[in-house]
Amino acid sequence: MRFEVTRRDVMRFAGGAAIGAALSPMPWTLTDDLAIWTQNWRWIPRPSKGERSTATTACALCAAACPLEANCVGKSPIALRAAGGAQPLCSLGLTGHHLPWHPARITRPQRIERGAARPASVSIEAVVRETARAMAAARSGSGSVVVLDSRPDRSGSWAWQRLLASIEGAVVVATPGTEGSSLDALDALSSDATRLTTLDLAGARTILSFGAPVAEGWGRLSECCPGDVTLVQVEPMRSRSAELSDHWLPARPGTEGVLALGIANTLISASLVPSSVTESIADFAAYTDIVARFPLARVAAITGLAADDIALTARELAANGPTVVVAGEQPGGGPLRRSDRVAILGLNALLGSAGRIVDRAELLSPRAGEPLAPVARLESLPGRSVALLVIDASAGDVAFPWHVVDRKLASSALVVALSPYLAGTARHADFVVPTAPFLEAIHEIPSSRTEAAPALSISAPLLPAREGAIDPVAFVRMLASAGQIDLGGDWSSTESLARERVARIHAAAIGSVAQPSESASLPVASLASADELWDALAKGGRWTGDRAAANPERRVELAAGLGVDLTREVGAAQASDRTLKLVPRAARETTLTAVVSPVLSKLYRESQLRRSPGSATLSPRTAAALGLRNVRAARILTAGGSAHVSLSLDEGVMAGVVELTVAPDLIALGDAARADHRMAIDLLTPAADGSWSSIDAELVEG
Amino acid sequence: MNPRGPLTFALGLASALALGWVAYPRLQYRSVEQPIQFSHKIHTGESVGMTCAECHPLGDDGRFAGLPSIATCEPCHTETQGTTKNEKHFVEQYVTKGREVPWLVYARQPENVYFAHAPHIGLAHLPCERCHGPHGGSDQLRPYQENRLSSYSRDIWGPSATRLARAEWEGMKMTDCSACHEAHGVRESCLTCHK
Ligand code: SF4
Repeated sequence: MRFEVTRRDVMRFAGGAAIGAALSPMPWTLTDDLAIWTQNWRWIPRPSKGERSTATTACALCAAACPLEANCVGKSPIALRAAGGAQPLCSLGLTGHHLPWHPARITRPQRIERGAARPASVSIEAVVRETARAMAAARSGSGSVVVLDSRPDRSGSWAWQRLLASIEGAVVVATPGTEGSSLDALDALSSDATRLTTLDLAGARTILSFGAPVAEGWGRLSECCPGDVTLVQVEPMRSRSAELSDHWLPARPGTEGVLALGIANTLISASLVPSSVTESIADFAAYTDIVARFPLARVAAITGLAADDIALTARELAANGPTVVVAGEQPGGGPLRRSDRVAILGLNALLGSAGRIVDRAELLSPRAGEPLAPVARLESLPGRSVALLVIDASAGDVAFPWHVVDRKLASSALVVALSPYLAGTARHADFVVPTAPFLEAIHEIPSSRTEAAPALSISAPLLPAREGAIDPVAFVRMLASAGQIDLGGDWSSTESLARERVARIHAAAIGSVAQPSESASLPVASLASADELWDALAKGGRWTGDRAAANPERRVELAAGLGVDLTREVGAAQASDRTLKLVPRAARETTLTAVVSPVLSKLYRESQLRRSPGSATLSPRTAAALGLRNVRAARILTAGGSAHVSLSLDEGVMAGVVELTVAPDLIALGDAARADHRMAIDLLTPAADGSWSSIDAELVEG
Repeated sequence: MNPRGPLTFALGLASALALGWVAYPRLQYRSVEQPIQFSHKIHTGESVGMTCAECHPLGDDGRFAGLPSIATCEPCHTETQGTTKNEKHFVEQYVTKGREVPWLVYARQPENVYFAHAPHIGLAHLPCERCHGPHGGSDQLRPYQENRLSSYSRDIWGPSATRLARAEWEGMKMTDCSACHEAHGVRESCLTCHK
């Protein structure tokens, strides 16, 4: 008998085999084993083995410079935690030791050709040659040279200023959205425009925060206001700071300045402003006229808040002083509009806190008496004027829409970035120079714009720098030598300059060092040598200098800086009844860095505990009004472009508002970079003053 | 009805079941014998009467000292105890030469896991048997089984391929740790074990 195998036999056998396999443990254990196998590929870094030890230093991932203790095995940090009795590290700091192994880490200079599928490795000589050529062209008048500095006042910042001093019109500007940059608006209030001002937060009992993520580490407020502090948070969304605040005022996006004027109106009309205060305001009459145009009923209608809430807040601010009013950078949303900030920060003067608008004492530079290029504001640069842009993201990144900078670039501008990662702002560069990340090199954490006293922390390396990492100061030196610019001195690295600065502080014997495990600060004058001061800083200590002397002559002008948009009608008509206010949303720690740890990546992508990148959230009411109630995927349209987003509904989102998660992006979470990768934050088109905290958008199905 | 159809189907089903239940579990692991045989039972039994902690102590800093070094064995084993081939081999090849025994550790966690014995023994007062079962009373060392794909010890998944009807100490997967933590109301986060 012949047995012929037919196609039907094969199908039956395969069907039986498939069912049999599914009824056995094989596919399930195989899936598990394969998943583990993919985690153990040869090129995946492995924790080192060796002796256990601990080391103390400062977290360099944001301006808060939290002192940290690292558990190390075989000299590699395997766990970070707060040192001494310091406040706990945030999730970024806690996982900071993962970042040197992020998939977006680079150790060779990269060239990113527009339209090319992948970046290509190039030599550092080629990058220096091209950059020096662009610098030479700028010197001969083809445009300006600008350095975008994500952490001003470092020794590295000084090195750039020193290099640019020899190039006419070259300036250093703070990266848009840098923490504390909102306080720039204070300068518009001061009668003495020559001095940098800030707010003195010490001893404040009430903080009225407009968008500043004060409960997430912004501005070191936790140190400045110990004890019983009342926090009033004004923010359209239920951010972490809003959740932790004593009162949350969810004002409609873009109406924060109006709310400030409404509060001012109550303070003035209820005679809660003492006469000594009104005398310190140079244009009080003009200001009163403007404020009179914002009675409570009108402000309530514009902001969407109850008039009683606004009045009550104003009275509480006056009664529970000292009060400090801060305007900050919403995570991913940058600063509010400039006129809003002027209106908000002006409340400090009105609340009798004029003494709180103080001169900001400057941090000693690494070297004295050398020519330096000026520091400017990005908004002050003419459009399409920048021929060479250097993005110094070696000390951290800031999430901002690229359009804020792009509109300043000449059509043939060269963009060079310094960054440990091919991620974040560096993705927009033509060349990326690899630098050493946190824990692999010296990083300085100087006082930010929010601090009245100068301060400095040093984050010492706990890991050897990987081969290929270029020191930013050494890169400055390379550019100087390629451009035949004499910088003088023999400084050649971040460490050499940072040590010079520490030696200057020691020689001046000013201030003291707070050490993580000690309750009392160590006066600098008691330290025998600059090396001792260096060691104290490198072990997580923070040096704080003296505040600027009080300026009794200071008078403030509150009316002059208020923008036309505030003093005239507020809230332009909606473009259509489908128009929503788009507000960017992110956790603070994801907007200060180009990459996050794989642990956070899991949190964002698998747990649904945090909103994943590219997701938009709106209230069920708004969704119903737009016919999007059962829609899960949508397209978001703004003047900056369009993008597909996953849609979710949340009762906590304000009606007429769509919250878009802008950070971390997929590359930050560890996905491979693609040439066509579009960051959600780039959908936000900035206003003329460079702000992008809320913009108009439409949502359509698809 | 032509039985050929159901038969072919049954043949496919039976082959896959045999592959999945019998052949695959054997193929999945390779067995490696321990360098020498060792009887926990003799050491912890009445005649010697040692406790687990005498050879596997917690250090002064709370850290688990792991496997005993040859120096721990030396005081009793400078000379052969008894007449077994194993004992002779142990004394000649390891004790006399001062060489450490390259034990294959059944409970070794993968490299991405940091497991601390100290809180489990010192704070939670868990007996060794909770995770290691009756290992301390074993008379023979079973072969070490290494997963051919993941290179994990078989004890991580546990002896049963289905993981059904297991003893509480069988299996050391993350879900097993989490289940025990949950049962005891212990809070955990990713970074507790993965650094
Ligand atoms: S990122 Fe900032 S807030 Fe977080 S631990 Fe580091 S210094 Fe502290």
